[in-house]
Amino acid sequence: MANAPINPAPESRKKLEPNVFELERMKKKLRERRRGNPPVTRVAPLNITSFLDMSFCLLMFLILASGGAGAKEGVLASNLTKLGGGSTGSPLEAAKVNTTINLVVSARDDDKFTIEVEILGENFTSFESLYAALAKNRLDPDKGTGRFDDESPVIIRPRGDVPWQGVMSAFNAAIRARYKNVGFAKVDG
Amino acid sequence: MSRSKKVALPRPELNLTAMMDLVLNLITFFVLVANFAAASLPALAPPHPDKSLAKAETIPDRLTVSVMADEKLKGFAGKMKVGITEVGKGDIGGMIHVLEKEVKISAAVAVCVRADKSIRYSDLEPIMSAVAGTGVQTIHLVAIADEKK
Repeated sequence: MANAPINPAPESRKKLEPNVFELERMKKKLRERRRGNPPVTRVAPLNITSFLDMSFCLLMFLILASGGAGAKEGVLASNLTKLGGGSTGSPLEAAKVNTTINLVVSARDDDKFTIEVEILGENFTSFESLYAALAKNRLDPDKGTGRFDDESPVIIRPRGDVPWQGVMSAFNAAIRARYKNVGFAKVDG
Repeated sequence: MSRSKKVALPRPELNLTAMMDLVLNLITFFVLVANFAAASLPALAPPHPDKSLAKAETIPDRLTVSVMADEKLKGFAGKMKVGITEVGKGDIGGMIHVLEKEVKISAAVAVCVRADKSIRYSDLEPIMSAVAGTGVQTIHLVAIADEKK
């Protein structure tokens, strides 16, 4: 009993007493105010990690979504307007010096076509064989082979019922064979 | 008696404001671009020639004329789209009007004709003639490009 405190503080009073650190902080604040220093304002930190994660995911998605839409499509470079607006069968200026190669395309079925090369007097049932014939007949000054200059006008003359697939395949075969003036004629019938 | 004084080191902080600005701007840009791209390219099946020479090029001043197949009549042309402007079936006059406006804005505009592979040539030829008649300098034809080997 001799070691027991004479007047122990009750539990409720202990809780009310500010601790040493809090007192120090309050004293410091008072000193700063007396000196004229403005009190330091504290800003609560904002955790934006998840927001950034989401933003980057969204960004990635949109990049992929916007780029993937027409990825497989491409353009076939052409000189249609130069040759006469895609509607003429007479590129007159060129015809004076070169021979016109007419490709008459007709459809046997939705995906089967016959291509007649008038100047050669030959019919082809595949665009691969058309390409081979056109390439073979293109003039090659180095080898001394072929008949037609690469500036010779190639006019694609599809029948009216030929699907666009057949027309474009003939066009592709002609530019694959490295002819430079390829155009389209008006509908023959 | 030596007194050791603890020096509080400055805590490094990363200022994310500029990055967040940029990210949000990029998101806005891609949202808009994605919408315009989808709006100007309606769903259709362009032709796919064997050993296609079509190249997925970026043409700077490009205007796409899309010709869709008719939903009911097989082989016939349906609605058209010039850029983001929708033009009714067979309305070649409407298409010319839109194209002429574009040519006035930029004379060097390149027109890409993008048509469904099933459409008959008799339906497409008048459209191509009309495009050429508007004074467009360059016309390209859209096809499916072969995948790189």
